[in-house]
Amino acid sequence: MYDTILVPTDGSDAANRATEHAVSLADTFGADLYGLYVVDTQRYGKQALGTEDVLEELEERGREVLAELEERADADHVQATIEIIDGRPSSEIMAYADEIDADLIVLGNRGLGGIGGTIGSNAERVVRYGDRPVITA
Amino acid sequence: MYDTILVPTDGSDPANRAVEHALALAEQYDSHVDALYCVETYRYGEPALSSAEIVLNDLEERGQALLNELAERADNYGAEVSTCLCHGRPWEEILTRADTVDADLIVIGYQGQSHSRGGKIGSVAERVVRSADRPVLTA
Repeated sequence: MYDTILVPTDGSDAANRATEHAVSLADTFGADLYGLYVVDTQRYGKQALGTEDVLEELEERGREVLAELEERADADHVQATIEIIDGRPSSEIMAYADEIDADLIVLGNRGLGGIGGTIGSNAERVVRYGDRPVITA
Repeated sequence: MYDTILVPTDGSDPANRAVEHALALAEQYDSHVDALYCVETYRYGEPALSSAEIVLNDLEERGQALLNELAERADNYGAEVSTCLCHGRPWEEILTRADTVDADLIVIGYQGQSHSRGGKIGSVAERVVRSADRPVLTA
Protein backbone atom coordinates (compact mmCIF):
# COMPACT_ATOMS: atom_id res chain seq x y z
CA MET A 1 0.00 0.00 0.00
CA TYR A 2 2.80 2.42 0.91
CA ASP A 3 6.20 2.33 -0.79
CA THR A 4 7.31 5.92 -0.27
CA ILE A 5 6.43 7.90 2.85
CA LEU A 6 7.26 11.56 3.34
CA VAL A 7 7.38 13.17 6.77
CA PRO A 8 8.00 16.91 6.78
CA THR A 9 9.23 18.12 10.16
CA ASP A 10 9.94 21.39 11.93
CA GLY A 11 10.92 19.74 15.20
CA SER A 12 7.61 20.65 16.89
CA ASP A 13 5.75 18.21 19.15
CA ALA A 14 3.17 17.57 16.45
CA ALA A 15 5.89 16.91 13.87
CA ASN A 16 7.55 14.48 16.27
CA ARG A 17 4.21 12.73 16.66
CA ALA A 18 3.95 12.55 12.88
CA THR A 19 7.48 11.09 12.78
CA GLU A 20 6.39 8.31 15.16
CA HIS A 21 3.56 7.41 12.79
CA ALA A 22 5.76 7.67 9.70
CA VAL A 23 8.52 5.47 11.13
CA SER A 24 6.03 2.84 12.27
CA LEU A 25 4.32 2.84 8.87
CA ALA A 26 7.64 2.68 6.98
CA ASP A 27 8.72 -0.20 9.20
CA THR A 28 5.40 -2.04 8.87
CA PHE A 29 5.01 -1.61 5.11
CA GLY A 30 8.72 -1.80 4.28
CA ALA A 31 8.47 1.65 2.70
CA ASP A 32 11.20 4.17 1.94
CA LEU A 33 11.08 7.02 4.44
CA TYR A 34 11.93 10.60 3.52
CA GLY A 35 12.36 13.34 6.11
CA LEU A 36 12.05 16.94 4.91
CA TYR A 37 12.83 20.19 6.68
CA VAL A 38 11.74 23.39 4.99
CA VAL A 39 13.53 26.57 6.06
CA ASP A 40 10.53 28.87 6.08
CA THR A 41 11.96 31.77 4.10
CA GLN A 42 8.48 33.14 3.57
CA ARG A 43 7.82 33.60 7.27
CA TYR A 44 11.00 35.52 7.91
CA GLY A 45 11.06 37.43 4.65
CA LYS A 46 13.94 38.29 2.40
CA GLN A 47 15.10 41.30 4.41
CA ALA A 48 15.57 39.36 7.62
CA LEU A 49 17.37 36.71 5.64
CA GLY A 50 19.51 39.28 3.85
CA THR A 51 22.42 38.36 6.00
CA GLU A 52 23.79 34.94 5.26
CA ASP A 53 24.20 34.27 8.99
CA VAL A 54 20.49 34.13 9.71
CA LEU A 55 19.79 31.67 6.92
CA GLU A 56 22.79 29.62 7.94
CA GLU A 57 21.48 29.48 11.51
CA LEU A 58 18.04 28.34 10.36
CA GLU A 59 19.59 25.69 8.14
CA GLU A 60 21.72 24.51 11.04
CA ARG A 61 18.55 24.10 13.11
CA GLY A 62 17.04 22.13 10.23
CA ARG A 63 20.01 19.80 10.07
CA GLU A 64 19.69 19.15 13.83
CA VAL A 65 15.99 18.35 13.52
CA LEU A 66 16.67 15.99 10.60
CA ALA A 67 19.50 14.29 12.48
CA GLU A 68 17.03 13.58 15.29
CA LEU A 69 14.58 12.17 12.76
CA GLU A 70 17.28 9.93 11.29
CA GLU A 71 18.13 8.68 14.76
CA ARG A 72 14.49 8.02 15.58
CA ALA A 73 14.08 6.03 12.35
CA ASP A 74 17.33 4.19 12.96
CA ALA A 75 16.04 3.00 16.33
CA ASP A 76 13.40 1.03 14.39
CA HIS A 77 15.94 -0.05 11.77
CA VAL A 78 14.38 2.24 9.21
CA GLN A 79 16.77 4.15 7.00
CA ALA A 80 15.59 7.68 6.31
CA THR A 81 16.60 9.88 3.39
CA ILE A 82 16.74 13.49 4.54
CA GLU A 83 16.45 16.75 2.66
CA ILE A 84 16.54 20.41 3.58
CA ILE A 85 14.94 23.02 1.31
CA ASP A 86 14.39 26.80 1.53
CA GLY A 87 10.96 28.16 0.69
CA ARG A 88 7.30 28.16 1.61
CA PRO A 89 6.64 24.98 3.63
CA SER A 90 3.35 23.86 2.07
CA SER A 91 4.56 24.45 -1.51
CA GLU A 92 7.91 22.78 -0.92
CA ILE A 93 6.28 19.79 0.79
CA MET A 94 3.99 19.23 -2.19
CA ALA A 95 6.79 19.76 -4.71
CA TYR A 96 9.08 17.33 -2.87
CA ALA A 97 6.23 14.80 -2.57
CA ASP A 98 5.91 14.98 -6.37
CA GLU A 99 9.65 14.60 -6.83
CA ILE A 100 9.86 11.40 -4.79
CA ASP A 101 6.33 10.32 -5.80
CA ALA A 102 5.26 9.83 -2.19
CA ASP A 103 2.21 7.65 -1.72
CA LEU A 104 1.69 8.98 1.79
CA ILE A 105 2.54 12.25 3.54
CA VAL A 106 2.49 12.25 7.35
CA LEU A 107 2.20 15.69 8.89
CA GLY A 108 1.94 17.16 12.35
CA ASN A 109 -1.49 18.76 12.59
CA ARG A 110 0.15 21.99 13.62
CA GLY A 111 3.71 23.12 13.53
CA LEU A 112 5.72 25.70 15.39
CA GLY A 113 3.48 28.49 14.13
CA GLY A 114 0.28 26.87 15.42
CA ILE A 115 -2.02 28.45 17.94
CA GLY A 116 -4.61 26.65 20.03
CA GLY A 117 -6.72 23.79 18.80
CA THR A 118 -6.89 24.39 15.07
CA ILE A 119 -4.90 22.71 12.37
CA GLY A 120 -1.85 24.60 11.16
CA SER A 121 -1.99 26.46 7.87
CA ASN A 122 0.76 24.41 6.24
CA ALA A 123 -0.89 21.12 7.15
CA GLU A 124 -4.20 22.45 5.93
CA ARG A 125 -2.77 23.54 2.57
CA VAL A 126 -1.14 20.17 2.01
CA VAL A 127 -4.38 18.34 2.83
CA ARG A 128 -6.45 20.75 0.78
CA TYR A 129 -4.34 21.17 -2.34
CA GLY A 130 -2.14 18.09 -2.35
CA ASP A 131 -3.47 15.18 -4.38
CA ARG A 132 -1.86 12.50 -2.24
CA PRO A 133 -3.05 10.66 0.86
CA VAL A 134 -2.14 12.62 3.99
CA ILE A 135 -2.16 11.66 7.65
CA THR A 136 -2.45 14.58 10.03
CA ALA A 137 -1.25 13.37 13.41
CA MET B 1 -0.05 2.07 16.62
CA TYR B 2 -3.59 1.67 15.32
CA ASP B 3 -5.80 -0.56 17.46
CA THR B 4 -9.04 0.93 16.25
CA ILE B 5 -9.57 2.50 12.84
CA LEU B 6 -12.76 4.40 12.05
CA VAL B 7 -13.76 4.55 8.41
CA PRO B 8 -16.82 6.58 7.51
CA THR B 9 -18.29 5.79 4.11
CA ASP B 10 -20.93 7.16 1.79
CA GLY B 11 -20.20 4.79 -1.06
CA SER B 12 -18.39 7.40 -3.17
CA ASP B 13 -15.14 6.60 -5.00
CA PRO B 14 -12.96 8.50 -2.51
CA ALA B 15 -14.75 6.75 0.36
CA ASN B 16 -14.01 3.40 -1.30
CA ARG B 17 -10.38 4.41 -1.63
CA ALA B 18 -10.38 5.33 2.05
CA VAL B 19 -11.79 1.88 2.84
CA GLU B 20 -8.88 0.31 0.90
CA HIS B 21 -6.39 2.27 3.01
CA ALA B 22 -8.23 1.43 6.23
CA LEU B 23 -8.29 -2.28 5.47
CA ALA B 24 -4.65 -2.39 4.35
CA LEU B 25 -3.67 -0.69 7.61
CA ALA B 26 -5.93 -2.96 9.66
CA GLU B 27 -4.37 -6.02 8.05
CA GLN B 28 -0.86 -4.89 9.00
CA TYR B 29 -1.65 -3.54 12.47
CA ASP B 30 -4.27 -6.17 13.34
CA SER B 31 -6.69 -3.32 14.00
CA HIS B 32 -10.38 -3.36 14.73
CA VAL B 33 -12.27 -1.54 11.96
CA ASP B 34 -15.36 0.48 12.79
CA ALA B 35 -17.37 1.46 9.72
CA LEU B 36 -19.84 4.33 9.86
CA TYR B 37 -22.59 5.42 7.51
CA CYS B 38 -24.39 8.62 8.37
CA VAL B 39 -27.81 9.41 6.90
CA GLU B 40 -27.43 13.10 6.37
CA THR B 41 -30.59 14.36 8.05
CA TYR B 42 -29.09 17.82 8.22
CA ARG B 43 -29.31 17.90 4.44
CA TYR B 44 -32.63 16.10 4.05
CA GLY B 45 -34.28 16.97 7.37
CA GLU B 46 -35.97 14.50 9.70
CA PRO B 47 -39.20 13.38 8.11
CA ALA B 48 -42.31 15.45 8.61
CA LEU B 49 -44.01 14.03 5.55
CA SER B 50 -44.46 10.40 4.65
CA SER B 51 -42.63 10.86 1.34
CA ALA B 52 -39.56 12.14 3.19
CA GLU B 53 -39.77 9.10 5.40
CA ILE B 54 -39.57 6.92 2.31
CA VAL B 55 -36.42 8.82 1.20
CA LEU B 56 -34.83 8.26 4.60
CA ASN B 57 -35.73 4.60 4.52
CA ASP B 58 -34.09 4.33 1.12
CA LEU B 59 -30.96 6.03 2.44
CA GLU B 60 -30.90 3.75 5.45
CA GLU B 61 -31.21 0.71 3.23
CA ARG B 62 -28.44 1.98 0.98
CA GLY B 63 -26.28 2.69 4.03
CA GLN B 64 -26.87 -0.73 5.49
CA ALA B 65 -26.03 -2.35 2.15
CA LEU B 66 -22.76 -0.36 1.98
CA LEU B 67 -21.85 -1.34 5.52
CA ASN B 68 -22.60 -5.02 4.86
CA GLU B 69 -20.44 -4.93 1.74
CA LEU B 70 -17.65 -3.24 3.69
CA ALA B 71 -17.88 -5.84 6.47
CA GLU B 72 -17.49 -8.57 3.84
CA ARG B 73 -14.42 -6.87 2.39
CA ALA B 74 -12.95 -6.48 5.87
CA ASP B 75 -13.49 -10.18 6.37
CA ASN B 76 -11.26 -10.90 3.36
CA TYR B 77 -8.50 -8.91 5.06
CA GLY B 78 -9.02 -10.87 8.26
CA ALA B 79 -9.99 -7.66 10.02
CA GLU B 80 -12.47 -7.60 12.87
CA VAL B 81 -15.21 -5.15 11.99
CA SER B 82 -18.15 -3.38 13.59
CA THR B 83 -20.63 -1.15 11.80
CA CYS B 84 -22.79 1.78 12.79
CA LEU B 85 -25.59 3.52 10.92
CA CYS B 86 -26.65 6.87 12.29
CA HIS B 87 -28.55 10.07 11.48
CA GLY B 88 -27.17 13.57 11.67
CA ARG B 89 -24.50 15.88 10.29
CA PRO B 90 -21.79 13.59 8.95
CA TRP B 91 -18.74 15.43 10.28
CA GLU B 92 -20.24 15.73 13.77
CA GLU B 93 -21.31 12.10 13.81
CA ILE B 94 -17.85 11.02 12.63
CA LEU B 95 -16.17 12.89 15.49
CA THR B 96 -18.69 11.57 18.03
CA ARG B 97 -18.21 8.02 16.78
CA ALA B 98 -14.41 8.44 16.91
CA ASP B 99 -14.77 9.35 20.59
CA THR B 100 -17.17 6.47 21.28
CA VAL B 101 -14.87 3.81 19.81
CA ASP B 102 -11.73 5.74 20.82
CA ALA B 103 -10.34 5.55 17.30
CA ASP B 104 -6.56 5.79 16.86
CA LEU B 105 -7.07 6.80 13.27
CA ILE B 106 -9.92 8.12 11.15
CA VAL B 107 -9.60 7.27 7.45
CA ILE B 108 -11.77 9.42 5.23
CA GLY B 109 -12.19 10.08 1.50
CA TYR B 110 -11.09 13.59 0.68
CA GLN B 111 -14.44 14.27 -0.89
CA GLY B 112 -17.75 12.46 -0.72
CA GLN B 113 -20.97 11.87 -2.57
CA SER B 114 -22.30 15.38 -2.76
CA HIS B 115 -19.09 16.77 -4.15
CA SER B 116 -19.23 17.64 -7.84
CA ARG B 117 -16.09 19.70 -8.46
CA GLY B 118 -12.80 17.94 -8.89
CA GLY B 119 -9.54 18.48 -7.07
CA LYS B 120 -10.78 20.12 -3.90
CA ILE B 121 -11.35 18.61 -0.52
CA GLY B 122 -14.96 18.07 0.52
CA SER B 123 -16.47 19.92 3.44
CA VAL B 124 -16.97 16.80 5.58
CA ALA B 125 -13.34 15.71 5.24
CA GLU B 126 -12.13 19.25 5.81
CA ARG B 127 -14.16 19.66 9.00
CA VAL B 128 -13.02 16.29 10.32
CA VAL B 129 -9.36 17.11 9.66
CA ARG B 130 -9.79 20.53 11.27
CA SER B 131 -11.76 19.47 14.30
CA ALA B 132 -10.53 15.98 15.16
CA ASP B 133 -8.07 15.69 18.00
CA ARG B 134 -6.86 12.38 16.60
CA PRO B 135 -4.88 11.33 13.55
CA VAL B 136 -6.82 11.56 10.30
CA LEU B 137 -5.86 9.98 7.00
CA THR B 138 -7.43 11.69 3.99
CA ALA B 139 -7.22 9.46 0.94
